[in-house]
Amino acid sequence: MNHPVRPLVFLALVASSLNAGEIRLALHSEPKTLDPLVFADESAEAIRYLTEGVLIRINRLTQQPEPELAVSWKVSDSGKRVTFQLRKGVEYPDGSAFTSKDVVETFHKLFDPALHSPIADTFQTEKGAVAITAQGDYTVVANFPAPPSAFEHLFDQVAIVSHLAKQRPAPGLGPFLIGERVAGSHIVLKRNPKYWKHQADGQPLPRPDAIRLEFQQNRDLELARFQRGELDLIDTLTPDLYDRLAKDAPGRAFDAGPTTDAEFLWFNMAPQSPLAAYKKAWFQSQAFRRAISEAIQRADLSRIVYRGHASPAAGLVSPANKQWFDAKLSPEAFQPADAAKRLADAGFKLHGSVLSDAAGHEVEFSIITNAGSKTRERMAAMIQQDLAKLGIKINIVTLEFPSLIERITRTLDYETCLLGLVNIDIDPSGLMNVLLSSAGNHPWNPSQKTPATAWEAEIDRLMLAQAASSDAAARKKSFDRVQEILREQSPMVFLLHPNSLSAISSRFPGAKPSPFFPHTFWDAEHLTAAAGK
Amino acid sequence: MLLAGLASALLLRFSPGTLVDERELDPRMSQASLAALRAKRAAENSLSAGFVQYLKAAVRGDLGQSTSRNAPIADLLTQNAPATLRRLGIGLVGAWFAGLGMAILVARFRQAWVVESVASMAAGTLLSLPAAVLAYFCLTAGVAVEIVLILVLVPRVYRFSRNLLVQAYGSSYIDMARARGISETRILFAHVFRSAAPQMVALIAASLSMAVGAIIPIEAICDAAGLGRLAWQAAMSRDLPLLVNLTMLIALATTAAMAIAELAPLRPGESSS
Amino acid sequence: MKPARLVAIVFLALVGISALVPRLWTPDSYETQLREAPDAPPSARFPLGTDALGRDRMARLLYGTRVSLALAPAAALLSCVVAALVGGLAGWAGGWTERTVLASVDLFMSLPWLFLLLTVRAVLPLNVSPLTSLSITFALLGLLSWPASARVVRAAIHSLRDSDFMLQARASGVTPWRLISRQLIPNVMPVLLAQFWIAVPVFILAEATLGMLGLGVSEPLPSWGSMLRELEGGDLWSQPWIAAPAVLLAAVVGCFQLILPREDYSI
Repeated sequence: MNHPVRPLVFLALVASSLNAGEIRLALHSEPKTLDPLVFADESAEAIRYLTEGVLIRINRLTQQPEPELAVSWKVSDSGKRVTFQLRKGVEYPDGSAFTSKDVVETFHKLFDPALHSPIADTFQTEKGAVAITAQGDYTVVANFPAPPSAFEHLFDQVAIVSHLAKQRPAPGLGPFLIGERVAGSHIVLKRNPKYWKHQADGQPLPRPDAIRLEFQQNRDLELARFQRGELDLIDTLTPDLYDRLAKDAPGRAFDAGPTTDAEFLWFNMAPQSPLAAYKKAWFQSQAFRRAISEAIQRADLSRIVYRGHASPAAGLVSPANKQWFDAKLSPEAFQPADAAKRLADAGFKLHGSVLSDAAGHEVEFSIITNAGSKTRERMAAMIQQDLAKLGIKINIVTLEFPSLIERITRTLDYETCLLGLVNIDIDPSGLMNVLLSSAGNHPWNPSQKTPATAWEAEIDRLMLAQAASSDAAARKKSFDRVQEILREQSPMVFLLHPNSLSAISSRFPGAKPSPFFPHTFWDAEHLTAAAGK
Repeated sequence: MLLAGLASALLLRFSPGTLVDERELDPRMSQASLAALRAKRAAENSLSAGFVQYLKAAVRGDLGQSTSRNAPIADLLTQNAPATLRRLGIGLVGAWFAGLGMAILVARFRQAWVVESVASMAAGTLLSLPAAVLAYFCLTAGVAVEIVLILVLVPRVYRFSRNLLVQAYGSSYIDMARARGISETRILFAHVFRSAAPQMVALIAASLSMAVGAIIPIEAICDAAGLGRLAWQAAMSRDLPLLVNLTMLIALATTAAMAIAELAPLRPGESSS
Repeated sequence: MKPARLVAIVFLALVGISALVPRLWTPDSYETQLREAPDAPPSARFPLGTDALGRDRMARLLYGTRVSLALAPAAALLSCVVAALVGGLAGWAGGWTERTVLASVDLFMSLPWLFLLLTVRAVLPLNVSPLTSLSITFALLGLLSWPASARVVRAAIHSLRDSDFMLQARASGVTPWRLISRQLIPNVMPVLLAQFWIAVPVFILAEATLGMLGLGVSEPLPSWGSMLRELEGGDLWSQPWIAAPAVLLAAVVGCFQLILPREDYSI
């Protein structure tokens, strides 16, 4: 096909059938690395989502798995084996065909111990790692040592790179390719001409010509640029900015409902922490922790700090996670009288407006949180006032993030910490490194050699049980019990599940925001600019 | 410069949070990955790796690798420097044009007290606001980052040059020149500027030093790509190699400005900084 | 006294009294959260409205003024003392001592002292009061901000050292200590005083900048800097009253400048 006119005709057809346009949005930080096998941060994840192909894609709106590079899959051997049939006729941008060799080689690289990829860690279990083998050019078999839970979510995160790629990132199988990159300024993703997906009418995808990702940390500036028409999408808005946009441009601001994110406060219960013994005793006391939880007005936190764009939390799992949310649990009610009685029963005494423990120590402790987060600073100020009514004095200390991480992971020199988890994995197995007592990220008492308490031992047992089971009902029962124990013992005081707040310009009226990341551009390949824009 | 680099390496290395990485909080990370990440971070931030190795490599022209950006530092500097230099240039030229222009008007037309009052009030107001507040106001109004720098520098340039020019215009030989019929333009350029030249040179150097100091918070708050924002982000992410380079660059600029300022003869009690 | 200077002094006195006795203007405390009225516009009850947590902005502004106006002069005094010692030594000794001190001043000015501020803030005990934490921060700012003043002091002492009356005193056999105490210090005091008054607004502005960067005072204690953070994310066009701290800051610092002698060329 070497006739000189034909490429021109092709280009003209493409131009006429596609709504040419560039989608412009901002990333709040520059990605540390673009290697798709190493998840470095949310910005890198956004680029990976747009430029790489995966075997299975979880639809961000319906939460259902959809075939991508794998056209079908079959589960066998009591749930331990998954056989994938790969899509034929797919090519990498360099023209090489996509085959099972690419999948096997990808997982080989992913599981390289030197990479230390957290994505690889999600495939690991106590019994070992998954083995990926090829059976012919278009069949791949994944053998798990134990039946995996929600394996579709696992494969949604793995970018299938070409076995011929000498370095990463390399042009992938996603709808876009990395084009221009200017450090400190922006990355432009251009249309992948070899993208395998087509529209219903046979026209090639993606519809946009390019996606321009600007590095913009300042949220005010991001909103100002959106309002000036310089940006088309804002993936996450703060509640203040959401309300401002909703007032100035109704119909452009979207509240997609609760995310899986959670904001919580936890107590430092590590015995090796340098806290005074009497303070350790307070935090070890179930009654104390429950009283704190009961004395916090979560409804006010939602109404005032999040301007109504958050829901009080019943536990770690958000109602957005319909499959795993324990409907029997409701958010902790605001019961200051019960909280006061609980403290009195535990030996605390109120002298005037000051609460003291049985030994006479005035109850005073600090809450640390990260500087620069207005929502957390405001929540801390409100919690401070709520607990003042019990006679408890709270000191709020805002620390910049590295200092805060050092305190909660290394020195353990803190009393309570107000933080949150974002993009929490839908499946409970994704929380193993948080809820297992031996885990390094176990907030209130990390890296325990043996569980310090009977209830933590019970949580360990239940989490391991659900991870090893393929019976959905049994898993649900185990994880429900974990959530109930967390409520009963309250090592973490769950506060709120923030809503997904985003902005979509009138250029892309078809965009539907999702409560799950990426909120606005999860369907970028189908986004069409409105005519004339 | 070397001392500045070493001192900043020490300050950074022993500031809290240097050896931690935000990725440690990723709930997917296994214990082994966590341990490997911590070891890598410690190696990246050891003083020998951060400074001694840097010196060895810098001699060969290799400024090292940024740990937070995962990119060669030389590339980061060359990509970000033009924007900052452009801002500094526009800011300094704009500030001098506006500040000196106002000062000439005020000094020349002493009877027009309204002009002086307005200029002094404006300068006083601008001097009374932190650069960060000016940056926020400009951000809200949607004006360019260069305007913020001009607003920060203009009152200082105006005040100092106004005092110099008033003093110069007050000299008796200026009256003599006027009496001899020499034009005001010639008086300004041949006599007034000439007598105030040494202090003006000192002020130019001092304003350069001030501009370098002001550009970091301005670029950080306005989130404008440049060396200032790079320095702020390097500080927040404890990027030892990048920060050492940037500190040495700032030390070079500051020292050069101070040296030029020191060369100009000053009267007792005066300061150029 | 010039009318403008008189007005400035009266205004500063008024601000000082208001800060000392905020109850003259508002019955509310700076920390009381009126949760049914967050972000309320100005009214008779709340002249500057309420903030995002329903706290009276006027009360917070007045109590915050205390923090800024009380601590800034203390930091300025500390800075001047250090500047006097360092600049004095350099100016009096001359030669290599002077050159070494000047080089150290240049080095000092180019270091990222932000880390030291972050370090001090991060290693402070968690249960110190916000006021103590802020006082320590101001003390540190005072200890870090002497270079500019030291240069001025050095220049002044250098020229005084070589002046005729000092030469005459030396020739008369006056001991060095008496030279310093009876001749040098009285003559350099005006310079130090000018530097002190220049430094006060500088520290007020420094606190405001730190507050805007999130490194200022902890909740619930207000300061101008922490209140100025409302500008970030706030809608200045529909809520112009959130700029009240900036207006008061500009007015107070402007008044300080009016009080300063015009002959001071420092920028």
